[in-house]
Amino acid sequence: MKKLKYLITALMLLSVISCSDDFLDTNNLYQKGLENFYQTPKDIQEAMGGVYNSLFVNDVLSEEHLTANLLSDYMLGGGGPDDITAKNIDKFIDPAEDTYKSLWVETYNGVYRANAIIEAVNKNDYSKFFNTAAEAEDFKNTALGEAHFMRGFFMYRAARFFGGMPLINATDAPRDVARSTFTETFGQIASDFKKAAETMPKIAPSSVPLSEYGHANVWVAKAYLARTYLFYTGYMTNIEKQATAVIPLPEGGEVTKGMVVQHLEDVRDNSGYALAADFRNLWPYSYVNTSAGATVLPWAETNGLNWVGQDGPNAAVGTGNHEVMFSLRYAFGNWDWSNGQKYNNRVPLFFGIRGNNMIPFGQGWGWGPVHPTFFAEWPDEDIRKEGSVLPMGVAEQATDSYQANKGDHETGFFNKKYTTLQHEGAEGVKGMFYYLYGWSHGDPFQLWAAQDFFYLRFADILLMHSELTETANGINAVRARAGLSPVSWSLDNLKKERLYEFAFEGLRWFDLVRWGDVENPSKNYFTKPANVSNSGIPAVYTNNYRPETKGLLPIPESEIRLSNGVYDQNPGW
Amino acid sequence: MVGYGVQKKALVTGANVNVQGDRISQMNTTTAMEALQGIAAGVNVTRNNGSPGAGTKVTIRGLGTIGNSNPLYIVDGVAVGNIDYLNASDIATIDILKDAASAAIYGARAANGVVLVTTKKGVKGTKPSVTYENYIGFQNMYKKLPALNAQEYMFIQNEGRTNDGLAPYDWETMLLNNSYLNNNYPGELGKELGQYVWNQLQDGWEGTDWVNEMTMKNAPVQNHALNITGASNDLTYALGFSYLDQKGILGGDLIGAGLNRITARMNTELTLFKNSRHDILTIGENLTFNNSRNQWVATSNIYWNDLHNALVTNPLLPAYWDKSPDPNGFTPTLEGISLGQTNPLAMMFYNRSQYSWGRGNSLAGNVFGVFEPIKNLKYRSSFGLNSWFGNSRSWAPTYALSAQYNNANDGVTQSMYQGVDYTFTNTLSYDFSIREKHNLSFLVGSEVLKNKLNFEVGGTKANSIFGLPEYAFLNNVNVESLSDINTWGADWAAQGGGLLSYIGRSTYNYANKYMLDVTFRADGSSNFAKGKRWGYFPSVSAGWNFSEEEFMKDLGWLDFSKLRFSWGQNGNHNIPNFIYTSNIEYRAQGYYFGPNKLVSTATAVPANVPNPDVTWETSEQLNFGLDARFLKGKLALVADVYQKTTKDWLVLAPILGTAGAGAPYINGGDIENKGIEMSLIWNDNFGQFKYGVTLSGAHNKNEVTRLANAEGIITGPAHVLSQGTAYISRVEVGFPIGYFYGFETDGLLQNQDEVDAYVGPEGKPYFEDQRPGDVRFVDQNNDGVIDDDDKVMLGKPNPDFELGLQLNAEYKGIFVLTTLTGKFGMQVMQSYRSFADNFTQNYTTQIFGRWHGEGTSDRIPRLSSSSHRNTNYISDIYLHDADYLRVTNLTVGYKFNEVLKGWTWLQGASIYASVNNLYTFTQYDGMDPEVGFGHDAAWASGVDLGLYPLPRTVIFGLNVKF
Repeated sequence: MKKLKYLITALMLLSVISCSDDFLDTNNLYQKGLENFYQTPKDIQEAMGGVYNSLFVNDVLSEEHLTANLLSDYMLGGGGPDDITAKNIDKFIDPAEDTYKSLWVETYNGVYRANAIIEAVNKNDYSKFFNTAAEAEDFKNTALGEAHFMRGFFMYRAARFFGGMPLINATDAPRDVARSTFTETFGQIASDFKKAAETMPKIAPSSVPLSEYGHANVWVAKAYLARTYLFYTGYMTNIEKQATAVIPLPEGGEVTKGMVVQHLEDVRDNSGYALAADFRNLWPYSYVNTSAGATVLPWAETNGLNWVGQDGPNAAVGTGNHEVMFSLRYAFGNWDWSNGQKYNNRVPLFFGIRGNNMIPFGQGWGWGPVHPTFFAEWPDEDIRKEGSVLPMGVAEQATDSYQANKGDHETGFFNKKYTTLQHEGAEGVKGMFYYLYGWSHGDPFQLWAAQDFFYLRFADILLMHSELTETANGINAVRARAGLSPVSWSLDNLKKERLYEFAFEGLRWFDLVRWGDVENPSKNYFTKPANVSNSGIPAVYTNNYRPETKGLLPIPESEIRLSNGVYDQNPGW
Repeated sequence: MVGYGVQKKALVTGANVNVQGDRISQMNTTTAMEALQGIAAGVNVTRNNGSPGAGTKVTIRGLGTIGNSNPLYIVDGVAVGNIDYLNASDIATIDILKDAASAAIYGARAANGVVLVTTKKGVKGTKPSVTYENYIGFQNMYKKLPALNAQEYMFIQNEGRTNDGLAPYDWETMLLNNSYLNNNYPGELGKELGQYVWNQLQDGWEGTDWVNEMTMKNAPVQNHALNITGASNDLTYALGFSYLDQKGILGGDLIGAGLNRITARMNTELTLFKNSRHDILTIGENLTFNNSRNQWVATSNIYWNDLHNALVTNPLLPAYWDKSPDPNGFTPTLEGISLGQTNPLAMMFYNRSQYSWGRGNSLAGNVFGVFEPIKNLKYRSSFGLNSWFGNSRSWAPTYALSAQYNNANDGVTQSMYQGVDYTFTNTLSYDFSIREKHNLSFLVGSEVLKNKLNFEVGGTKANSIFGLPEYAFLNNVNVESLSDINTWGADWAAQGGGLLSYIGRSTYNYANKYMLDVTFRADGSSNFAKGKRWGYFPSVSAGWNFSEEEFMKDLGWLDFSKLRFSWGQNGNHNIPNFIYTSNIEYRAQGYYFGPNKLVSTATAVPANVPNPDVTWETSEQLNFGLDARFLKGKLALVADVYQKTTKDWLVLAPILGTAGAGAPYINGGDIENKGIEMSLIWNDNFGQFKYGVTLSGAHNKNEVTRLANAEGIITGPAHVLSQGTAYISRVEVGFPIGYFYGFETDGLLQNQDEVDAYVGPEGKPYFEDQRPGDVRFVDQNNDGVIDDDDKVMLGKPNPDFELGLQLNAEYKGIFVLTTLTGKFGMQVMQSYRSFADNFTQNYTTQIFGRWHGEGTSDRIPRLSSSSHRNTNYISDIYLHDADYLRVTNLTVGYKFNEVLKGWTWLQGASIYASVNNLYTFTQYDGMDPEVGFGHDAAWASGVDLGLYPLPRTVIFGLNVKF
């Protein structure tokens, strides 16, 4: 038996040999972790791409410019009979759940990614990657400022829809905190914008290499501080009915009107941004004849339009765009990718003409038809009118073959700034951007709209300045570009100017809210009856804003449940 | 077979099912698991769909997790992903370990039960024998669901218009409206097509029957299997070779869809040294090689389902048109009817597996040695291998049928992959008896499982030079821009890690009367953080052969009886690695700085919220069983009662948006499964007439008892029944897993009186526009509004009860056998069209049962030409009871044994004819009540969107044994 014992022991040893806990250790070869990333300027650059990646949202209803336009007074719901969601947004109702969940989720994805950069850049020393201390300092200030700006931007984008939101200011901050107040939330946003406006180096947009076009910069941060000031103080004064002139900052101190005006004047006088010479040259329709190599849009030919492009002052395509300061850089979509449609601008498809496939204005789903009264009241001598609204059945606009009665809320007017553009090319009739960028994959019908959404144009610097200083200079600069004579300062003149200058650019809804005009039928188009066709049945459409919602949308119901009731739903929802 | 050993059946104390290989072969199914349907009580086998090689969903004793619920498959001691690579003729036996104690020896991976497969081996002392089995068969659709023909389609569409107060469609104008064809081709081709269709209709053409166009009649299936077994003095051997070729009833002739599978197997065992009493050193190997190609068609959600496409595409579109610009003559889309209704044949032809070549291979098996220095002291060492390798090449063709369906640039993809897992198992066992009555055995061992290689490399390029499938190689592509290229390459195994285990078992029995069995396994898994890696899985079981007791000895009618008890724990570690840490993930589509909009700038994001605490999921099970045989072996009974609790299941539960990154796996909930299983077997004969009956039944009740996130809910995907509709499946505490969720209805509003009476508690109508023919949704909370708060459980996809019945009889060489399987108590959610957004999609003839006047229907609401809450509110109008009893197989054959007695070289021969899926007794009105599809969620099922049905197959077979 003794022999047996030895044998057993020996065999067991043999079988256990090579088996130790080290065997279970693994090495992640395809991903880095929080602890070993953010170590080099290249890491930061890639992580910054990740921050901007959260500008893309999965669900189309979470697209800022789509929903803000549907909420606004000059666009109706539209679409086909099945497009209930568009009509619900337009009608200020929300029978479904989680309608704007993607916006909520992407906001915090962006915030988390920005927080990781802020913490790393504050902690790490990158000087060994640079030749001089000044370069290292510049890198640090740029990265820090940009990350602060983007954190503020995500919160700004969402909080204008949702109101007060949970504030997550560090990667290890508790996630189950309650919603902060409206004031606290906008205080944090202003603080981030202010930090960016004071930290980032002042660089002229024309000296930024084309390959880096698309980043936010110090000028953009200054402008957004002004936007935040106007929105917050306007909302508090006119919706909450508490006269407010400053934004209190979480670190102490406040943002005052004077501070904001100074920032705007710095942008106006020193940034190098300027108005494009012709308003219409901002929009891609001004390029469609060039792209097609033929006159597919006679009106553009007649007016000698020539696109400035969407890739900044040093654009390779277009004459150079000095006006757009910040935009969402859409590209192409592909059904094979996960959420592959979100990388292209879905607004041209969703707001495109329904049931008509014309050249150059192609087919879309017909959401957001333009209110006829808004169109009728717009003076004809304003070149922005034809530059912004596309009427149906007009030969000069190449819409003469239009057949009506294809969808709901049809008014015969569609927006022209973000719509489907297409023409004949080597591969048949395809989207203009498909040919412009040489795209070749996927679905060229629905996923080709690589048209940037313009968040911020220089025109808004001028108009914000006018509004804050109650002077007419900014207004008149914008009017002059539109071929209009000067006017004197009045708030109504300012409002009208913003309405026409920024039509369908996603700003109107927030303007109506902050001015309180959303509650005043004499100052908006909601209750103005519109003659429409609902899939062939003539009807008169009017809308009713619900003041109990205080200009906000519902936060996602599932988030309320996941928070265990820590979040309250917004009033009226 | 039990884990890591063999046990006499009389001494088994767990709940196992043993199925012999010939029982499986008799069923003539493509895969072995399909043959187990209804044969093994407590083992729920559901086909994913009816296409060749579609695979099965196997749940043992109820769904215990919302993650991976597959059992662990062990073939000859080696863990494999599934056993679909085997031909039925390869299999000697399948043992299914259902209770925790039997499975506990597999510890960490056994939470969902274990399927042990033993392939055929030679038997010592037998003569060489050669077996040839062959069958050929013809498959046809069992039940076709007719879509409307052209006239019916136009009538029904117009009825919807009229109901909405609209003028009927102007079909001629709609047909003529086709700007894509007009814009892109010379002449007015769109108008010409419309005119052609319109003229055809005027001549009485009834339109295209898409299901017919897609269906292959008499789709052939053939199977050949050659097996050689035998033994010489110290060597036993078994060789097998088999070939299966099965065409699919859908696309079988259009694109050659089907499965082609070759399996080769070699098992040998050689005794090297022995003495007079026992073998001292034995070595051997088991190896199975598989080579197969599966040419699939689309069988998934409404966007990827060929049968669904066939059911919804309008019948006005001709399948082929001689003037079509398409090189294969497929008719382009009739844009005026619907931009989205592309010719379903063209989509199958261009976008499925037709231009995808490549065969997959697998090699699985082990080499082993057994050293037995002293009788019954065995040291066994086995090195197991599971490897897979293959290559693929595909061509994405160009096509142009509509503005929505066109592709101007072809593409070529080539890829290769290779992988191997190894399992190194060492066990030492000793069996001995003390004073003859005390029988003991001990087993200790260790096991190492490692993914050694998991390599893949490939590339895609757009714009091939030749533009032809036979030239589709990456070399034949010139690239114009970077975005035309996509490449990948990784060796996922290079990251290291694996599973490390120690096992121990001791069994004791006293005079074969009292049995006690204790096992223990410790597993360390790399999927968890240090400190969370090790899981310990104990079990204990006991048995009492009470028929051996003196007081029972006199019962003449009772041959044998045993009571069994077992308790044990198993684990599950099936989550991706690195969940416990933060991961920075690169995104191919990140952000587009700079002018290049084709390729994203390098972008990295934190992918997940780390969960450093994530650890094993544990399943704990209690089992009581009774085995008995009566009347001299004529009647046998096996009965089991169990309670299985899955604790700390690994789940990807929704988290707060403020987390800012993807949800981690958490140990997030508990599920309880309770059930009863019973089998009765009767075998008897009257002279030369032999017959047998096997009846088995299993009942299971499933309930989620804990979900760790605050919401307490996990929801399935939306847009399932139709684009634009809410999710239908959900997981919630207090309900069965994957239950169907929506509005309850109380019939339809039949007349104005009922409309007037359909009001809330304050007398306000529920809907301003309600009218006869509308659905009466139930206001569960009686608040006067029909909203999400009124949604309730509608049904569930998993059966309460499963039944299996096998009958066999034999008289003078003529034999008949039949198998019936039934499932009861489950429901199916059915929708054969995208009703919320695609109104001009076709209907099936089910729509003739719609409401079109008082009393005409109480289920299918009045038609509408557009979107309406009647259909858009997901309710029980889509829910159908799916109880069924199916004659799975009926075989009639003849054994030539008597006739061929004189031919000594021939050991036996038989021929048979057989029908699979002969008849299904069911009230379900869809094509097939067996609906394994659950959309994107692994835990969901029972969603019928036009699921590829199981064909009825007529088979002729021949078996010869030399």
